[in-house]
Amino acid sequence: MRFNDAVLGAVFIALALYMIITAAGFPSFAGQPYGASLFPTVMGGGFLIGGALLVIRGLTAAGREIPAFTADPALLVPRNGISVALIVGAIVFYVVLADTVGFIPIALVILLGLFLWFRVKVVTALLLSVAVTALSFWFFAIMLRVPLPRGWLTGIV
Amino acid sequence: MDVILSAFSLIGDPQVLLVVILSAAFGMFVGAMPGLTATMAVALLVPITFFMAPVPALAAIVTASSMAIFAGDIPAAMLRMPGTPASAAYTDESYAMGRKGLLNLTLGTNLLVSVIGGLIGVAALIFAAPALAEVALRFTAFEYFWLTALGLSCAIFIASSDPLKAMLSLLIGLSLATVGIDPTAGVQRFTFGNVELMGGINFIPAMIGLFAISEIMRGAMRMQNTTPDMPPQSGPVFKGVGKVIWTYKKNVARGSILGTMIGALPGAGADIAAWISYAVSKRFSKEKEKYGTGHIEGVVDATAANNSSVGAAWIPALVFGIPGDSITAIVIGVLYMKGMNPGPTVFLENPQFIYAVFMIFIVANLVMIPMGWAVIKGARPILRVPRQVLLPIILIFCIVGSFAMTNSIYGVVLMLGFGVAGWLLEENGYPVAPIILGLVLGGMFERTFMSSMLRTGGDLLGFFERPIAATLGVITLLLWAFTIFRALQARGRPSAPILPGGAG
Repeated sequence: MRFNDAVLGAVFIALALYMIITAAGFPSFAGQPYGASLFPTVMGGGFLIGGALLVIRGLTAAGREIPAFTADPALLVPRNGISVALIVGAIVFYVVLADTVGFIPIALVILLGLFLWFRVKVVTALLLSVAVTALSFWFFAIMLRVPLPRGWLTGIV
Repeated sequence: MDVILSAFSLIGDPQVLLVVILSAAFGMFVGAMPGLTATMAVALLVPITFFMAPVPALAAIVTASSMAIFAGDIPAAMLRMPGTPASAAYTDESYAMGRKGLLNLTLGTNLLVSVIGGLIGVAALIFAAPALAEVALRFTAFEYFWLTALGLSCAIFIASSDPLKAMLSLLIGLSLATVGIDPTAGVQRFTFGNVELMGGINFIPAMIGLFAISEIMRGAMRMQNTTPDMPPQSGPVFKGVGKVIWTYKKNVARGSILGTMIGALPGAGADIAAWISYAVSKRFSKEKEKYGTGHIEGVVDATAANNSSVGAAWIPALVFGIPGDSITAIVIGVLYMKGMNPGPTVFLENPQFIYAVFMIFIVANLVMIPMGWAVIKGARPILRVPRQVLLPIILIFCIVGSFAMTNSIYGVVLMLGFGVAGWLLEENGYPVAPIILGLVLGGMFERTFMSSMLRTGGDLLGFFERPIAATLGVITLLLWAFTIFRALQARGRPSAPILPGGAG
């Protein structure tokens, strides 16, 4: 996904304005003209200048011919686009359901789903999903005592 | 002497040696897989090192990064795909050698010259770091401010082809470092009232997102199911290597010294070291015309340089707390987590840790010889491990690792955000290494800036009153002036990037 420089430049300018305005509300040191707001304001200034230069670059010379938005050709192949979406989707799936369902079932579903989508042989996919889930649960949750969510399996593992 | 003995007992622990062997194997594997970088090897290791004592934790990082930089040479020669960006400079050259039937000679030379380069970089670290630490003891906020400013400026001007985009990446990192409780006044900034954000942005999930998730997304986008074709390999690995090293002993020395210098420079790492020494090698060679046709000379320079930079990058990291590349940026974060704040005082308070790091570097470089030999011999099956099996497994490790850093879903959310953002930014030509540098150094940069401001009462000229600070300040400003001058001069002309890729 590629954007014309002017588009991202505008995003940086918006970010700069947000930072500078929010920072203006931070209290300063007693008896000093500046405080917690100084550094974020300087950073905001940097974004403002950088963003403006990007906008200029995007709207002049060679930049003008680049459309506001172009998708990477590899991403336009439906299969590849779905692959990328599945990677992001798998993480979102974990974030949303991990606490209720638990690490083990979710990791199994993510691994098995992705292996099958990437056309790994069914038997290999099944074996690997179980092995990787068991290994990572054993190593992190049991050896290193990371409180991976137990979910449905609370009291069992 | 006592210090050296206690350092010995720290690394002589069988547990530490086990960690060295395991992380060596891990580093070799990750380095040898095209698309998985040395930085990613370290990023995936950090959640595990979090649970270790300082010495084994550092041992794991040192070993894995040294191995990964060498192992990147293997797929470069066999598949024409650099295993890590640090091998990209001479990928075509070593692949051409493989096509000529010289595969073992290339890989054997890569291995032994990498070891020599690595040891020279470590020697520089051992001699330069304590001496510099003596000087650094007298540094005040002004010197640290300018040193950080210089390091960050090098990262955007030297290490990238587009300084404007690199600067914006750096600003993103520095701005994200301000999230949480402000270090000087205790004010909440950009937290949106969120309790997790009050603790700041945890840099490990951020780094896993930037370096691993974005890479997985790119990998998924370009998935292919074909098994690559590899040139034949036969005979002993080290046959004829001694003669090559002897013939090109000056190249070994030059590459190692250049790599050490570039590695020690804040912001530039192994990949830049390899590009520059390959170019220097060609420039001064008597047989320039052979370069690019499968000639070993340039490979010798560049493979020595990328490994020597690994050790040298630790010089500014340990002495000043300023990373030489993205791997040492991670190291600095780990040191802070372990309560060993990097800087000259570590050399006084915990000298045994410093000596232990030196020894681990030597051990790691020596372990590289048998491990490297084994990986070269077993490269075919390793390179055949299909991407479609690897990516989902790495994804699960990323999720668990990020979760373990915050013990909550927050880590996974951070990882996802940084992963998607990192992928988008890289697609648009923004390097991601400056984001991590900014995130790790942001706190120190702001602290030294604010205390300098308070001391001079806001007078910026006061930043130049002490001699060392003034020198560093002038160098930093000259670097900016030079870049702006060059950008103005280049306006209207088609831009020609000097170096592909970012620091790391």
